[in-house]
This record gives sequence, structure tokens and C-alpha cells, in this order.
Amino acid sequence: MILTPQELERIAQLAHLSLSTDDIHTYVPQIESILSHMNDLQAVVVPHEDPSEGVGAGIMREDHPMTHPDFSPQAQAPQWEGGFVVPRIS
Amino acid sequence: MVSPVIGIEIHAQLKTTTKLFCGCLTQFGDPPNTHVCPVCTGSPGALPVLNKQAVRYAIMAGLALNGRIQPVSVFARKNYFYPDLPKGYQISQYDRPIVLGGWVDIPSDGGLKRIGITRIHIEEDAGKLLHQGSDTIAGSSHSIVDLNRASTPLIEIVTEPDIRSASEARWVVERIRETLVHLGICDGNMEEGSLRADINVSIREDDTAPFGTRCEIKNVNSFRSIERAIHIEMSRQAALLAKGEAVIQQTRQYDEATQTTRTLRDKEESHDYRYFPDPDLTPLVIESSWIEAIKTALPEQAAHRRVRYKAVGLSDFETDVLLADPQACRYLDTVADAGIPHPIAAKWIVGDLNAHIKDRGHTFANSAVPPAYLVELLTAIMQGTLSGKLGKSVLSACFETGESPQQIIAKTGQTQVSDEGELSSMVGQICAQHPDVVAKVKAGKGGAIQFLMGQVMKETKGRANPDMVKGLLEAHLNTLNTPI
Amino acid sequence: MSHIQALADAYRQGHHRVSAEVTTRLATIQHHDPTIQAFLSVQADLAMAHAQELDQRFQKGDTLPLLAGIPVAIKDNIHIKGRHTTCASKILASYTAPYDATVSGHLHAQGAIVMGKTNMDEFAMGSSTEQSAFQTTRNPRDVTRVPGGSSGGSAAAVAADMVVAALGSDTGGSIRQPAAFCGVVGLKPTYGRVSRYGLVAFASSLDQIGPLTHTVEDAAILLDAISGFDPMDSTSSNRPATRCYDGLRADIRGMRIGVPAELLGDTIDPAVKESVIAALDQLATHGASWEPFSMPALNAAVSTYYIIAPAEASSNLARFDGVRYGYRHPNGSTVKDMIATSRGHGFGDEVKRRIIIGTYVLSAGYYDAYYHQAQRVRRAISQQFQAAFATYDLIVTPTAPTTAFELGAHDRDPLGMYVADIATIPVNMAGLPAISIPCRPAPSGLPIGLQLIAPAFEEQRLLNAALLHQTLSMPTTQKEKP
Repeated sequence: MILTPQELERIAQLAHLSLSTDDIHTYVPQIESILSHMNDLQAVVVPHEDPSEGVGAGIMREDHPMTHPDFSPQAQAPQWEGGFVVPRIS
Repeated sequence: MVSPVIGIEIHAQLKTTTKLFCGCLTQFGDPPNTHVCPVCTGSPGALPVLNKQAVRYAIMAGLALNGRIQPVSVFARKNYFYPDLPKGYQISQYDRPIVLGGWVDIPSDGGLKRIGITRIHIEEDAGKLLHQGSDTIAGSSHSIVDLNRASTPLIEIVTEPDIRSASEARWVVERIRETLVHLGICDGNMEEGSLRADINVSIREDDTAPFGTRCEIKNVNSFRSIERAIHIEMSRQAALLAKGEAVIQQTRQYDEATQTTRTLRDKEESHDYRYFPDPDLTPLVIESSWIEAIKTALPEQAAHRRVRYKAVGLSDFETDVLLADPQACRYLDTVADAGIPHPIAAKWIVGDLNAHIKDRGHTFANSAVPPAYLVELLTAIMQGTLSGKLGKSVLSACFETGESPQQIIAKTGQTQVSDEGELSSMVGQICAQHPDVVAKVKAGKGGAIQFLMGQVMKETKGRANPDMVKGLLEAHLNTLNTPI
Repeated sequence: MSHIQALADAYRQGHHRVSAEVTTRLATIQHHDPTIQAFLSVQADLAMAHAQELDQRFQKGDTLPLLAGIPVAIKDNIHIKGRHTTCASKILASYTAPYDATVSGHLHAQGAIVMGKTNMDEFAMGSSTEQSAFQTTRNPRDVTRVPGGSSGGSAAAVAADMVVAALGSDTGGSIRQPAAFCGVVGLKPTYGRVSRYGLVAFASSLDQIGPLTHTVEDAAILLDAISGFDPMDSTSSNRPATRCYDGLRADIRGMRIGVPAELLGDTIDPAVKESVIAALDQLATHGASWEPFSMPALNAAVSTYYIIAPAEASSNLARFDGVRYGYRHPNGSTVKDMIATSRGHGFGDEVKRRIIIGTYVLSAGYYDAYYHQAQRVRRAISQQFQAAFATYDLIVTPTAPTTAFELGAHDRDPLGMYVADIATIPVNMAGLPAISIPCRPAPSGLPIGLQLIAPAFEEQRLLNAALLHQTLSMPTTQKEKP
């Protein structure tokens, strides 16, 4: 399976990663060689899947409030006007 | 002739105290970003912990909508980027939801039609974006992100595409909303967003043709909008097909002001959500003993109440008004439990009481007239010591003063006079005072009896029991000889 | 032979003051760290203030926990409230932790003195600490070589005696491999043993926090201090903190040890193989027995890991979008632009590569063939371990196929570095506890690590066996120390 630069760009867009042309050209062969090894997996005999196997009762919390008086989300926001400000949604 | 096929996805905010995966309060109306913590703001290192009450509510919804609660369900990450989504993914459920199947019955053609439910799952809400205009200091548009709503628990209810008209669609949303509100798990307020409906619409030539391509309509914020949006979309699709063009599968936004739908460009690219089970959460295991306990504790459901009220003689209108407000239903049931027949209580609740409460901005759970007061009032009326007309003014006075009917009646001496002896002698007196009118009645002018009645009422300051007075007058007049 | 115990005794006997200890450590850091570069930040003032406070309390005769006054370092992907957590990334260069990680809270409650935050591969993605955006850490045993990764800074800080103990995180070997390269002890607890709340997530189903120390006893003490159920972490196991230090016994009698043949083959450096076999033979003379056996699933372990870990990472790192915190690229005119450029500029190459791989294997059309299949193979690996533990009490392997490689050796072939994790990765896949302890160094003098693996939640067994090995490997003169 061959990873093309276009495919890489498509994935980068999906992951919201801006890549330079250099980046793309560097990454393509590197990632392709990694992905080609993944085909090893197809050969492995896998056990039958039991959906409830290994399932412990997960923890759930009671509906009680918990405050964080010290937590100020705006403290590290790039800009603040009573909320986090972002450029326009296009 | 165009035949629609409609499916609906309802998102209902659950009325838990805290959010789905953290202990922040779910209350609204406060300044932005005041009910937040590292978990719901997607801070690095924070982890989700599931709110048991949200699961309980989801199970209640599943039971009330006749679905099958799944013993094991899985939370999955729905990955996409948007500023109101702090983690860059929404924790939802994908191929293993908490409820599968179910149905809701809606009125149709004088009977009931059953609309299937495909599934119900739990997911977290996103934050809110407040878009700002272009008159800012920087001169460019921007948006503010408010994360108070982020991670509020939602259930998503997906119906089968069984709906065949806009009015059916409206019924479906109304009945599902009513079910959830009666369970006490959701406010059901479409305008405020605690209940949202996305409508999937496609059209075909007739009931035998295969389904057409569907479009999803968002931003439908009221029952009326549901019907309007569907009609608009049906017309739009019909027009395309008539021109020989195809309907493209897309998401469209309904605009109430312009009565149109338009494509939503933002979300279009994020079709690839790359769902995978959330590794920060274990699969949700629900013991059947817990389901049984929840089932036993379920409050009376809307559908059941509807049937019960009809059986005790309430009209459809009264039932609809009552069911729109579970507090009013509880009020009625409390009054009925104290011995007042349902129809009598309902008439007053749906009528005068409702009007007073709305005028004063009270609620049925919290008004100046608790059920005990209404019981007092109606008992007096039933016993004949209070006329209906007086009862209305006593009710008003209760609202004004907050006192009980008995207290008000005692103060103003407004009890109805029903003592036969007292009224009898009064009738005699009045007739003696107005022989000319008596003569008219005996001469066959039946209307004149009203004058005599009026005099008795005037004499008793309106407190005489009118039926008794009428009876006594007629009896007395019969005994009088016609004057020569 | 616990350094922590020795210090603790000295404090209580009045022989040594905490502030003197901290002063010495700070001097060591000042002297050696310009070369070693283990620390991203050192909080000298805070450390001294804490030391002075503890000195007063010791003087008063207060009863203090064992860890009181012990200098430690914490990997820079674990939060300490009020201090920077950078994950060695530009995207978090000035991020201040708004809360304490649960493990940090434990250490604080026990009086440990945090000297500073240590260097790592960016977002824990790497095996050499060369992927840090800020500085390259060097191996104290040979400064032309890597300390291993991703917890290279923590391993180096311990190896260079800048601290007594350090916390690292391990997703595919990131505690154990640097421990092996630097000649120290590194423990990865059972998955769920230690809370992940406050650890910046790399791969949620694989990450665990664990200690790096000079001795097995100290690793046990740290494990006792940081382990235990945490209601803030849904994946934490419903067990109280361990009490392994109390239960430590250098005992291996009757233990059956299995060694996967796949990890004693040609991919392993001959010097490493020799040292490991020598260690096994030594254990055999003290009541254990060992034999090779086959675990075929190990051959697919690296591929499986490099699907699952990047997939989870691609999702975990989506929150770094420049909206609420972290680096925001100044010129984004639309939200999408702003997010993409912030991430494009803020993340390093290895992180970007892994995000791409992760996004790819989760994307439509590829999910079943890659991610879903990888999860199935992972369960096969788990089951093979389980089956092996029906026969063997411990599984032993070399920690890494080679000794520490030179800085820059793998610049052009990231895949080459991935394969170096062959022995450590399967352990994370199965969620098992494992420890790397130094065995006989290579002829070059470079450290070699022996990895012991136990069944889930059997850290006591693991530490006991490790302790025996440590005792046997000590030079005779040291054994006679009281």
C-alpha cells in the first residue's frame, strides 16, 4: 500500500496540522515504511472476541457538585474577553 | 404527489445536578466559563468519570420509551475540531449504545400510530459559541467560547424513518418530550435548547417507491418550526426532482425568519469522525437488578396518565393541558386523592387555577393555592355551602392574601345559605312584598320568577343557594291561589 | 540498601539536615546539568524553603513520613500545581499546571522535595529524549550517548545523583529503557495501579507512571507512595496503595522463569544477551530455574503498538488547538487556519508523524484493517502472557536489544528506533508490571538492563525477585554494609 503526498495532505487536514511541502516530502517515506509493517498484523491468528470479557464494573460518581475555586480557565487563554476568543468561524 | 419519509434525532439535556464526566454544575444563565474545571475544559491530564445519575436517567428514558436496556454499552470518542469542543472529541456512544429499540405512540386518524425508536445513547454536550459582529476594536469578527454547557449530559433518541407527514413528526417530538418531562429527567424546553430536534427528510413518489436521498435539517427550535421546516424541505426537494436534478445528501440549517433551509458549510467536512472506544472509560455494565430497581421507582408515565385521565372522564382538551405540565398532573392527583372527583377538580385546575397561576408567574408546585386549599374550596361547593360564582372570587382572594378558603369565607361571611327553613321564610316574605309579580308568574309569564329570585339573592347578599331558592319559590308559588 | 531509608534515618537521628541534602543536590545539578541537561526547570528556592520547613519539624521531633526530605524529580508531563508542565513541547512552553497530578499530591503529602521537572521526548513520543523541543539530555555514563527515552531526563537525574528518585511515565518502555541505558532501576506498575490523573496523556490504554531509583527498595517505597485507587481516574484499579517495601524479601526459591526465545535471538546485541544469560544463571544457582519458550505474538507487538499508541495519541492531542491554552499562532484569520498553524508550528516532527499515523489508522476505510485488528492482536498478546504465567512465575527478557546508542544515531530512520522497544512494548500491551534492573555492564562499560515481568498486580513478587538479583550483583564489599 502506497502512501501518496496527497493522501498525507488529506490526513494532515483532518488532523488540523499545517505541513510545509518539505515536511510532506520528508514524512511520506518515513510513514509509509512504518505503515507497511502493519500488514504483519493480518497474518496473526486472533482469539474470538467476547464483548463482556475483562469488563469490570467501571466507577461512576454520585451527582454531587465539586468546585475548583482555584481553577481559572481564562488564566492561560491567548486572549480573554469574558470567554475564550477565537477568530471568525468560516 | 409527494410522499415524505421522516426520521428524527432528538437531543435531550438531562436534568442532573452536575455534568456528565465531572462535578461542575449544569446550571445556566451565569457568566461565561464559571462552571468549568480541568475535565470539561479539556485541560491536559484531566480524565472523565461517569455521572451515575445521568445513566439512571438514560435508563429511565429507555424504559419509558419501551427500549431494551443493554447490559454492556461502550463510550466512544467522536473526533473533530471545533472551538466549542474542548477536547477535540466528543465522548458519545457509537456501535454499542445503552438502549436499543423502543417505540412511541402518536395520535393518527382517530387512533394511534406506533413510531419505532432505533436507539438511545448518552453523550456530552459541547460548549457555546457567541458570535460577535464586526464592530470590535480589532475591526474583525470573532467569537467567544463559553464552556459552561460543555459536557452537560445528553441523551440522543433516534427514531426509525417511520414518520410519514409533518404533523406526525410534530406529534413524535411532542410525545417524546412529554415522556421525558414526566419522568422528571428533562425540562423539554425547545426554545432554550434543553430539547433539540434534527429532522431527516426525504421524499418519494408514493408509499411503494424506495426511499429517496435524505437531508438533515438542524436549528428547528419549536413545534411549529418542525412542521414548517419539513414542508419547506419537501418543496425544495420536490422542485429539484421536478427539474431532473438529484437531491444531494447534506446537512441544512432551518431559518425561521426567511422560511428557508440552507447548507451548513462548516460541519460538512467532518464526516470522518474516526470513532473508537474511549480508553479513559471502562465499558458501562448495567446489572439487571439496577434496571429492575429503576423500573419499580419510575414515576407515572405520560402515556399511562393520558389513558387514566380519559377513563375518569376528563376531556381530551383538559388532558392535553394537564399533561403539558407534570406539576399540574400531580396537583390534580393530590386533590383527587383527597376525595374530589377528577372531572370537577380538572375543570377548576385547567380553568381558573391555571389562569391565576400563569398571571402571577407561579407554578403548580409553588403557588399561593396548594392542593389542600382547592380541596377546601371544592368541598364547600360540593356541599352547597358555596356557589360556584362565589367560589371563583374566593379563589381570587386566596391568591391575593395567601389565606385559605375557610379563612376568607369566615372573614367575609361568604358562606352560601342553604338552610331550607331560613330560605323558605325569605321566599314567603318576598312573594308577599311583590304580589303583582306573583300574579304575572301565575298568569303564565315564567320569566318573572327571575325577578323574585333576584330579590331573594339580593336579600341574602348573593349567598342563597340558587337551586334551593328556585325550588322553594316554585313550590311556594304553587301553593298560592290565583287571585281573582 | 535503600538510599531513602538511609537518608530518612540520618534525618531522624539528627546526623543530617534536609537543607544540607538539598544544598548538595543543587550543587550537583549546578555542576553537572549544564552537560547532562536532565532538568527542564529547577525550583531551587521552593526546594530550599521546603527543606527548611522540614528541618524545623524534624527538630521538633514530629513524626514524618518516610519520604519526608527526600529529593525527587518529576518528568515534565506530570502536573505540579503552579509549575510549568511543558511535555518538552513548544506548544506548552509556558503552560502552568492548574492542579496537582494525583501522584504529585501523594508525594507532597509524604514530604518529598521536588527539585525540578525533567526533560523528555516531546509528549513522551520517543526512545532517546532527542525529540525534546528544548534540549538534548545526555547519558551520565557516556555523554556522547542518549539516556534513552522518553523518561531520559528522570533516568539521567537519578543516575547522576542529582536526586534520589524520579517519576517517569511508561507507554511502550519509557521508564524501563532509559533505566537500562543509564544503569538505574525503573519500574512500570500494572496498568491501573497508579492514577493517571494529571499525567498528560499520550496513549491512555498504555500509559503508567512509575519510579526510577538506584535501588529496588527505593522503587518499592515510591510505588507504595504513589499507588492506589483514584476516583478521578476511571481506569484506576479498585485497590488500595501497595505495601511492597514492608513485604520485600530477597527470595526466589522455587521460582520458574520463562524467557521468550523471540527476545534472545539475533535482534539482541551479543553483549546484552551474554549479560542477561549470566544474570539468569546466577538466579538459577539461588533456587530459581529458567528456560526459553515461544511467544509468537511478540513478533507483531511492535506493529500493534505503533497502531494503537498513535491512534490514541492523535485523539488525546486534539485538545492542543490554541483555543484555551498553549501556543497560538498569531496570524490565523479563521479558526481552522489558527488551529492548523498553531499545531503545525507547535508540534515537533515525531509528534506530527504519530498524529498522522494515528489519524490514518482510525480513518474511514482503514479502521477495521488497522486499529480494530491491532486491538485483536493485542488481546492475543495478553492471552499469551496469561498462558505463559500458568507455567512460569516470572518472565525475564533483556530490557533493550542494545546498550545506549549514540546521539543522532537514528536521525534518519525513526522506524529503527521503534524496533528498539521490542522487549518493553508487549508488557504495556498486556498491562503487566515490569521492572528493569541493572545487570553486568557490557565490555564497553555501558549499562545493560534486565527486565522482569510478573502477572498483573504481582509487584511484590517482581520486587522480591529484583531484590535478590540486586543483592547477588552487588560487589562483595558492599554486601557487608549494615
